[in-house]
Amino acid sequence: MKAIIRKELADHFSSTRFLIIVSLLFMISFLGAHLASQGIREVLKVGGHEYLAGRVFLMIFTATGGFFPVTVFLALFGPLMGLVLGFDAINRERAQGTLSKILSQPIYRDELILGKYLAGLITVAITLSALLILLAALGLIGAGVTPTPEEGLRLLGFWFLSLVYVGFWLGLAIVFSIIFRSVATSALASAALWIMIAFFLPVLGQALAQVVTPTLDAQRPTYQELADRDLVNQVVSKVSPTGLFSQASQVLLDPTNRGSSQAFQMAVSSRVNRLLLNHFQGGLSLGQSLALMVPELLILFGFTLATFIAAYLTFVRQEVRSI
Amino acid sequence: MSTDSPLKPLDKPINALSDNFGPVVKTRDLTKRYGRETVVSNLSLEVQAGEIFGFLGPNGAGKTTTLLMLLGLSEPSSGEAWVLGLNPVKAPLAVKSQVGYLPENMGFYQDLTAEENLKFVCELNNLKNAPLAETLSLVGLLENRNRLVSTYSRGMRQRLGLAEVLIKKPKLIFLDEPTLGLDPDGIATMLELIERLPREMGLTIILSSHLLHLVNKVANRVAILNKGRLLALGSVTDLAHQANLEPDLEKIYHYFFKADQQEGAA
Repeated sequence: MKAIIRKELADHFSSTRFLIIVSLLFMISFLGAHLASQGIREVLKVGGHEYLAGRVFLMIFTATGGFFPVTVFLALFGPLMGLVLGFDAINRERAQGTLSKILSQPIYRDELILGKYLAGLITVAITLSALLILLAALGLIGAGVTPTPEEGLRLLGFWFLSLVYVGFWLGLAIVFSIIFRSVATSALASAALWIMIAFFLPVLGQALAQVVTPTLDAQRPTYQELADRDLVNQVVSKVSPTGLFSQASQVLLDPTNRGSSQAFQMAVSSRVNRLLLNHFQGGLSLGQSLALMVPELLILFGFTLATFIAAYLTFVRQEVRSI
Repeated sequence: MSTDSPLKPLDKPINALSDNFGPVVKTRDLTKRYGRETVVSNLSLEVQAGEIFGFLGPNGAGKTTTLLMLLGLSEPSSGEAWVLGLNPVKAPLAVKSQVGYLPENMGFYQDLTAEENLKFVCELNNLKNAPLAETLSLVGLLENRNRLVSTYSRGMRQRLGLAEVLIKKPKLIFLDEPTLGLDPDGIATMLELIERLPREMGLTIILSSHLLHLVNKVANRVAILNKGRLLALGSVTDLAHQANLEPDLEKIYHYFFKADQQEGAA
């Protein structure tokens, strides 16, 4: 399996399409982080923002600064990295006639699929590490703030979360590369599913929420109506890897985020609860944030594992004659 | 060997067959079905060490499927097979480490050189210090070892494929249509190599092809298949005797093929 991983890593890092996608991710992330850090610097200059202590650094990744926050950008476009690495993993070997050659060597069939998946994950891990380290350095220079140890740990958690998220798309692309003989079909199917999950599913969630929980007065919805609508949105986002990643990353990188919308919080909280919320406005500890994001992380991890298992089973059960 | 041949002679055999395990390949009622379609039906045969065994039949006769079952890449629906004394279903890695397979459309990594392609096969076989130069020299590609495979001719690619098969020092090799798409010179070079391998290296070869005149030149014994069934098995001389024909494989093949069709019609 080592030979396959080595070969795949060399292929990935020298492939033009991967370099293009990574360059694009780096450039746009830099732009987002740069604008965010400029905004932070301006705010800090004014002073009187002591309540932000211990979470300024992470705002480089979550603040908009007039552009996409880095987290949102990674949620929407990070999948491209996984898709580009996996959409032709198997059908390319099949098309160039190297699949039967590899399988006739003394290796198990699952070693090939595992090797390809691991090589893709290693590539993503290296790329994400480089991206986050460079963004952090940009933040240090641009915003002039140093991270606290807790912020460092939260960033590490975000790296792992991103790896699991991109790993899902990598697994999905590999499944398509096994199912579809044509590389073009596999690329199209991967892209179509990415567009549907990342862009259309949130819209679909909102539309569904409006149908399921209609408001009597559209201008002045009640808290209960808002809460119901929010609940439908939350349920829909739980079946979307992009939604899960967005929610988990917001909780992880923003200590004040409690994992649910303000409307939902206001609707469900009594007067006493609101007072308690205000009391804890200073932010959650890392442990509390992690506990809050466990459901999203577990579901996302489950999705990622499911795509890998699907790839594994599809490939192992395929007759070699059809390969 | 002709004087202008690109092939180099070997000083000593890479791997002579020394183990005594009876027939190198033995099948008993080997059958493969895809759904309701039977592609190999009750195939029973034996291949002895050092033989060049011709596997003949039209497209869809079940030749490649049989080779895949012998390699452990496809599981038989029923029946059994032994390769070098091993069951390919139970010990696929042990079989694949001792058997070389040149598929019909052998592919290569076009962006790698011939030597890099060969090294990758060595890594897959966990071979350290494999005789790269010696093997490339054997197939006449030593001087072109650092050229990208994308610049290779079809004949050179087939010879590189053979080098990839030989590098792991197999005891048995399966060649599936090795001369397909080659020009006359390429065919002559490939056949010359095939003839030399059992003699100089002690290898056993199963040669699957539908080009009868080529098999006729090199094979010691042949099996004729049609629609997954074994029609005839034996040396060309024996089969000619059975069919009461002159020892011409093309005539023998057509005789058994026609007899089978008549039997089927009846």
